[in-house]
Amino acid sequence: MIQYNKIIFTGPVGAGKTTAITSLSDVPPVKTDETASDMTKSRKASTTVALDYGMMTLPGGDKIHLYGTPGQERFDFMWDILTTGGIGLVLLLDNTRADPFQDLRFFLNKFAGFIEATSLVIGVTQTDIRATPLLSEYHRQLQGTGLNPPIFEVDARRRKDVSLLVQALLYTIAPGLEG
Amino acid sequence: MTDLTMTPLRLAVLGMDERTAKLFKMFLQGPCRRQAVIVEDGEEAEACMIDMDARRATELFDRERQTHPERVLVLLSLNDCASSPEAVFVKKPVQAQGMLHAIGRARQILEGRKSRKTEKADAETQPASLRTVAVPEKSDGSVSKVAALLDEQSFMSYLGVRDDIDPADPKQAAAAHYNPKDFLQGRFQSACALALSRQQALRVETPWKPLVVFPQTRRIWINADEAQLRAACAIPMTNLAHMDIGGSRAATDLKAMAIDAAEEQLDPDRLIPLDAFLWKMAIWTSKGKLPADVSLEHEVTLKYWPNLTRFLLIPHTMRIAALLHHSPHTACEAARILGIRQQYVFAFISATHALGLIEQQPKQQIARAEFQPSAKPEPERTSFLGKILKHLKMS
Repeated sequence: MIQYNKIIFTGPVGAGKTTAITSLSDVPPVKTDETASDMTKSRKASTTVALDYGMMTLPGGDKIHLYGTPGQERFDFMWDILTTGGIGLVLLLDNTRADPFQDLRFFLNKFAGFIEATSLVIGVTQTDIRATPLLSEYHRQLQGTGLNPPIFEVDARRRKDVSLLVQALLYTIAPGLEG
Repeated sequence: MTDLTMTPLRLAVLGMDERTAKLFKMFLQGPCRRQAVIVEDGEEAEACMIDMDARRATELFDRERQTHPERVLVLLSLNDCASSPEAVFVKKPVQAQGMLHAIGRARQILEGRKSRKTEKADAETQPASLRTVAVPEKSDGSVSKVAALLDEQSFMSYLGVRDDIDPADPKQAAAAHYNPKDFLQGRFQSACALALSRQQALRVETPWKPLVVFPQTRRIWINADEAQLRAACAIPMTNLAHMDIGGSRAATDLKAMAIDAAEEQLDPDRLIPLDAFLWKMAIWTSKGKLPADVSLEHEVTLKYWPNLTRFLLIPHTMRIAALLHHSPHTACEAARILGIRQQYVFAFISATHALGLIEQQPKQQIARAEFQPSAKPEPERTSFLGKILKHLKMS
């Protein structure tokens, strides 16, 4: 039986997946960052080549595994494996990228099956560096897709931001949830 | 120089009869070792002690907040209360130790304010070359732009307690509404709408203080701190028209003009996101009531989730958002389904209404199945999700 105890973080290179997992994890996260040598180098010094892993331990001992997908598309063969048993998807988008809407479409397409089966929240990062596009424009981009998820501005370094984003994910699965 | 730790704290009292006030005077002089005194002339007071179990205590609290926002409030109550940032609670029956602790806390708040004022004054008088010292702080993001959480206790301290209403009772229904146009909220909303429609940075003279709106980045600037704003939000326009606060006398019309060169150079870190500002104003103004044009009989849907990581969060914000985003409900139904006070739902609807995030429709005649999400998780799974949620909230 599949155990639904994973939360998957995805998004393009530099969107803050590793940082977000570090913010939430109760244990030092396992990172697989390597020095960037390809196009990634222009956006950050190192990048995740396999996956990131963090963990939250709940009262009673249950564990929630936090997985971050590698940002580079050439590792997308891993994404299906990672999402099996996932509770939902946290998509982080970098507002300073040349075309964040293209990133949005790309990841929604790649994870379409997983999103349909579970739930989705979107965190837009780096808004302090570039304020536009506004969140309302992201909502507009989603019109006609049948998706209307929570979209929040997020600073992946701030635990509170990441926590609120994941809380919204849980509430979209079970509105009225009490905790 | 006055040393706050040496001189007695000057207290005004509200909600107490003469006899009780006299007893307190003796109590402060004796068991409390004259760490505080009740001042006859209330105007000299640094703090105000209110009996929250007295009749109309909430009204007294609100009035004191508006007229003397600089005072620390010491609230006495039989109920167990947690401290909020600007008020100190003392549980009844009042004992010397609890009272001394409260006096100490009130002094700390006053000291904190005093040193913040000094720092601000120092920063303003320092030569420009020294101001760069604070720059590293900015890289971590401005705290003022991050969501603040108003828990149930703070919500009630700031906004009062409103009993749930029977929506079928016309009198109660009328009392549960307010008109944003009767308050600054309406004027500020109009000012922002004006700038957004013109897509031009505007300085708008409002009946209180001028507002500078930058529509391209959806940011605003106003020369007021949180406490001033909160107090101003609560004053009806009719009263504001007779007051001289903020340096500009109340005017009935909005006067908009293009911003001047100095305003173009405003420090970006002092600009507030427009949506977060309007959201907050609506919460302070509504005080747990519904805007006049939201019907209690209509079902409300949340079109989009608000940007909750950057907004003032009232109790149960996420639950209300999730429910109204999932399916339409009347405001009172939503409160009943979630098992929460109506005033939280009303305040949430006010804030989302101010941002144009809700839609209303007449209630469906066919009774909708009671809150049945299309794929409602099994109870075991819901309990597991609840555990994750609790963990996230606690840690």
